[in-house]
Amino acid sequence: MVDSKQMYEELSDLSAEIARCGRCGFCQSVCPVYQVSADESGVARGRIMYAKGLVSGELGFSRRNEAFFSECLLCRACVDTCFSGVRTDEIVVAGRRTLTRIQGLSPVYRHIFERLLPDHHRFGRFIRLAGTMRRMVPDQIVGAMRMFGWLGRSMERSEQLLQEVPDEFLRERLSKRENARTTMKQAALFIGCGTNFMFPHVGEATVEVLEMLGYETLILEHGCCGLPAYAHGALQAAQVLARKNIEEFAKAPDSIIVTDCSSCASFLKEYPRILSMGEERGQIGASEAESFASRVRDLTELLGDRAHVFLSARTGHRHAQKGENMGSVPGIRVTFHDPCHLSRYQRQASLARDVLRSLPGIDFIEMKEADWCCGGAGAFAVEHADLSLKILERKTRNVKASMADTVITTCPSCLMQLRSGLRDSGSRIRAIHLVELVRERIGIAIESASL
Amino acid sequence: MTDKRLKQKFRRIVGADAFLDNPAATATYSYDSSLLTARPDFVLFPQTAEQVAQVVTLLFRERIPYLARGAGTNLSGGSIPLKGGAVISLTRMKRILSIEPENFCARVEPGVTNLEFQQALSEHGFFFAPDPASQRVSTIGGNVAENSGGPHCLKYGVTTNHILGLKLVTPDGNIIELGGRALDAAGYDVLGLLVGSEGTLGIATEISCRILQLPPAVRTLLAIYDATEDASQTVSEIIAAGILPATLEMMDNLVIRAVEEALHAGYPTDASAILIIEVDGIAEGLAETVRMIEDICRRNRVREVRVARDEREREQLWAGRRGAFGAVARLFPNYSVSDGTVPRNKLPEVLRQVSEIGKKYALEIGNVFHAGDGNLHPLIFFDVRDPQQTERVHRAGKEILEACVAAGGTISGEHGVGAEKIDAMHLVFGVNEIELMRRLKNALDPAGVCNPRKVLPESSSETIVPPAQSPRHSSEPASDGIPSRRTYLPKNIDEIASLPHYLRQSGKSIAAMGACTLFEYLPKDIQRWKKPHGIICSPLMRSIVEHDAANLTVTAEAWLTLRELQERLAAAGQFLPLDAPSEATLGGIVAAGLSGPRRHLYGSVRDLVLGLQLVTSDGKVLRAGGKTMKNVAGYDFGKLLIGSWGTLGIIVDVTFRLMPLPKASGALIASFQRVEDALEASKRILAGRLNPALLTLMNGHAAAALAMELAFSKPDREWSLILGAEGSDSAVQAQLNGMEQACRACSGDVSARVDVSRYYSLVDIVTRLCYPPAGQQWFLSLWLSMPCGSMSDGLREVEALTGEMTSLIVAHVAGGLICTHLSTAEEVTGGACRCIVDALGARLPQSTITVLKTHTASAESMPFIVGRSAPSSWLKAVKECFDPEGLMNPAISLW
Repeated sequence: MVDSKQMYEELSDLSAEIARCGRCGFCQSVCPVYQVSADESGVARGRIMYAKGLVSGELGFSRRNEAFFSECLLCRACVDTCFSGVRTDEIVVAGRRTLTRIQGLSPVYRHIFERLLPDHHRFGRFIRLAGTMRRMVPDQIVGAMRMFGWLGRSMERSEQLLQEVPDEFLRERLSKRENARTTMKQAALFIGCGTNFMFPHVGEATVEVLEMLGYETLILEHGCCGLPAYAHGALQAAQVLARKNIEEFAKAPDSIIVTDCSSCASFLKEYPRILSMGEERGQIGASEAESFASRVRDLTELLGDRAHVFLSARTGHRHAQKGENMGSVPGIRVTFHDPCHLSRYQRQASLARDVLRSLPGIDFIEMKEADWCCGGAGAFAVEHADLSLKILERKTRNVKASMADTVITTCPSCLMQLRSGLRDSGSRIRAIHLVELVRERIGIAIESASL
Repeated sequence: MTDKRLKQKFRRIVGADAFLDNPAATATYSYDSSLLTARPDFVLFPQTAEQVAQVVTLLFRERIPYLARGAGTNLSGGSIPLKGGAVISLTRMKRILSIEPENFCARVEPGVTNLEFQQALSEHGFFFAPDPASQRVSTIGGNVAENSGGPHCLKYGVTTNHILGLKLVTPDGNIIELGGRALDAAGYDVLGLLVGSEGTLGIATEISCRILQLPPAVRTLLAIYDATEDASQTVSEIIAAGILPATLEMMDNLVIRAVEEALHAGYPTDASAILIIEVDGIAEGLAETVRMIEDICRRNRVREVRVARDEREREQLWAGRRGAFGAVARLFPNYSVSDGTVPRNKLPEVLRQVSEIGKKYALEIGNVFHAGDGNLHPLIFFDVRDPQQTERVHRAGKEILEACVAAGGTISGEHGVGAEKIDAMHLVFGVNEIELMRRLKNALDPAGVCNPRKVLPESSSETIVPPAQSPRHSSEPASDGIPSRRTYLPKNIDEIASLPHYLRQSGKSIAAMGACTLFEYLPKDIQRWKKPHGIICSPLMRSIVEHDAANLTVTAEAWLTLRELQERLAAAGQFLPLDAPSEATLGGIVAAGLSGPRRHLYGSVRDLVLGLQLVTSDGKVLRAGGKTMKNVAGYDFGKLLIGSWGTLGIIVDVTFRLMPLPKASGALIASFQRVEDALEASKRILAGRLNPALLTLMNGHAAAALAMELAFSKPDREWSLILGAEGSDSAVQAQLNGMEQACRACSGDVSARVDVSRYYSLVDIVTRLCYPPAGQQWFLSLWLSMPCGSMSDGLREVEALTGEMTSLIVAHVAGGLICTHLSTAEEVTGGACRCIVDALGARLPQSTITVLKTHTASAESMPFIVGRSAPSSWLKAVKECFDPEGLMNPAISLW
């Protein structure tokens, strides 16, 4: 008989964590999946009890049971609400790793993780190819796009999305851009895959706003942060990416590493933990990983630190209060959607709000359940389309109920999800990245001040 | 039926995606928040009452055990399928069906969580009083099953006081309705039995909840103590001072330290205890109350008192309490929450014992609990992977319960008996009580399939009964002739207990008699018809067994009159907030299940009885309930006695919940030309959250009677509103002013103000006018209980039917009760009486009509209480469980 502890070693390593679940069930109240499914298998307590059953040998793995681990957004809402603080997200990822180990990584995913994610250029060429070939989209690309939730729930939707793929990716655009004067501090830009391939204008805004903040931007040849691979349970692939990125950013040892994607930011900060896991732990020095992580900044942090800068940027509008129409700056009603990787993984929810409140002409409205996951969660949106849509419905309802005309977030995956929810429900509320709003508002303020 | 075909059938009923039977799925329904586990064979997710009924019908037919489950947060193993079978998950039945502010009622499906419900209600300015700590996840269905409590129970009572009706799938799969939107229903209080029956008597698929208006103002204090005794003493003194806080929570040093470490709530880590005290009500009165509380704290050597100045500060004070569980839980791998209740004045003593038990078993124990109602929740910390330690936790938990019971408390205040506390049932109940509960269970769930092995200790007879139905014998009344009647005057319980036994040998029936205050109104013919052989009257049994002032409870013998009781209580600054004829005996009032004009504020007898003792027809003495506010041990069979009219047993003593006498009170009388205006004024008064103690509408005849007794001039307009307020001086003034304004705004004329000196006489007269006053021949006297929102319909119908007759109408607007007495110069036939009652019943289908007095000729053919009730088979079953031979008060049948 196979020892279940060995068979599910990733989970049995977490036995102590699993045992801490007191089964109070409070996770139900915050789990977006449970709120839709109303079934124990879709909530932290059920997932943990399943993991416990696996380790004890009482239960086994089957295709049907994959859902215990796959139907989780990793949003950490349960971790925050748990009295004992049980790290359900880690247990779920361990479950996915076990599954990957037992079933092996499919060739498609292997190709994506090992060939496409490390190299934005190659990845970009594949996406272009898909754009021109439409229905003859190679498997790899379908898979790759899924990883980021880019592929719609139907072929029709995927076509639509492929049409939305910008003519030029961010890296191409930035390569043509002239850098500002180099008397400034340096910030190495970590270009997230979502920003690069779907929202290049967000990346451009980031570069511009960084300049306003006094940073010259460095562009390096890094790859994906590795979060999609890690969340899929492909730890080794994530570690390879992490190591590659650490090495690449060692080229700019003194600059901070900035990204406009909160998911990337939070994962980059977790490199030390990621690299200390599994069989290949220790291949890169712990201190290197630590020093890398300590240089990482979510763009929101930079913006939050400089909230006062924006205030003074509102030349002539120093005493303006929130919600007031700033002279000729048209006022807008703004609400904020917390990406899980900003508010729970990085604990920076209040910073984003500080930024919003400091901008000219903004009436900030806190929406209900602002920190509830939008259901995007990368590949989740595609792999569990039905669930994702139902979770999104709730989010869209709350956005609309806030009566805001603009919803702001700081993660491309959320941005994509929010936009699709608003579009499908016929809403005219626009969803944009925080940095876009910053650029827009300051631009307007400066313009109106110079008039 | 084969297993496969059966499963197919279930799939057909609920849908393929709502039926799970794979091992991993059943494993996730094998646990709740307790330490027990057992896997079901399959799990179903019905979405309608009909689906539940079909599923249960099939399960019943196949004799497959089943249980209903909400969020699975049970702390006593109540939702563990110990016998396998089916788990019926109600989590997909989570609609809020209606919120009806005008009826003080909201209807929900069982899967709605308590917090979702509260949030929806708050948008209308209302709340649902039960607020268990698990409210974020626990469902209303679960709250009903467990009779949940929460911090606010101190002031507002537990779930059973806030449930108006249930749509229920019976253990054999029928859909029945218990109660409705009105506060009263006909027949035995089966609803009261069902609430807290832990899912063993049926599955609620729709719940009508009583909802209350959010208090206009709230004040919150945090008091920090160097000695736990001082904190406990403060709790007692606050209650003794006549203050009833909305919540009164306490934390001990272990918890304080953990909270400070985790949340930095600003608690001094060397403090021994912290109290969080919250008072709510009319804003004008709260400042004074807060001052009084501060003084009491200081007298008891408080180190520091912090009063929240605004909502933000209030949130801060609560943050520590709310996060306490989490903060402590993070320090240890696992914790077990105990749940015992003691009379609040026993708190210091029991806390000391708990700490000693912790030392004895080398376990860390923290305390964070509802001090106000004596509900302890010691948290015992351990590591579940250490089986030895876990065993010690079980033993310590048991000893804590024993300590609670020894102090006059009970084994469960909120969490239920479930499976884990079955052994402890013997600590609070004798074999007779348990046998009665078992009989009730067997009668209502004859197959024993509905959540088996819960609540009741195992008996040899508990096996699933095979499909052949057990015969139910009918209970014919014992006699039909007119035997000579004897009156027995027993001096104590033993003598009472020996009587039925003696009479029973010759098949003779018996009835208890109190002061005959109501009997006077009951049709004389009813007395002759099926007259009992013996009457028991014990005027000697009129002592107060115990008045526990610090605990706000009194236990008194059944033949004590209300007046005597109130006089004794008043000396201690307390009163029983129950309005009934003052000469009536306590036993009589409870047996008749009376309510009065101040019900909206204080509840009815049903809400005020905490426990009672009774003698059954076989001479057994049973004790129901106890003397704690929260008590969810076993079935609440005491509720069945309330309003049973002596047909189930002889009540020998009763324990009531008391209230501190209000500091101030006052009333005013406003008169109106049109009834619509008076009702509109009432509506505004309620909507303005003026919290009236009295809100009674009277027609001219009634008002004239009132005016005469109070020596007022008779109001010249047809309709009068009697409005009263109780509380602190400033609050009462503010309330009365607000009420006066509302009346004037509705073209009312304030004809008199009544100050505190005559307030209680006013209450007394209003109460007496609910019963047919002496001095006139009333041929029909009715009480119509209806949803508050139907009052105007009710009044219209009553007026229309009574036509030319002289009628006296007294209507408690917020309590949904119209009392009317009819008189006419002409000859009235029995048929006419019957016609009036039938017509009212037909036109007001949601109402319950009690016939207090009727024409002699109609008495025999006319039911005594008309209206919605549990199915008669259930009512008969209840009667048979208590009195199988039908020997108790054969004059009245309630089915």
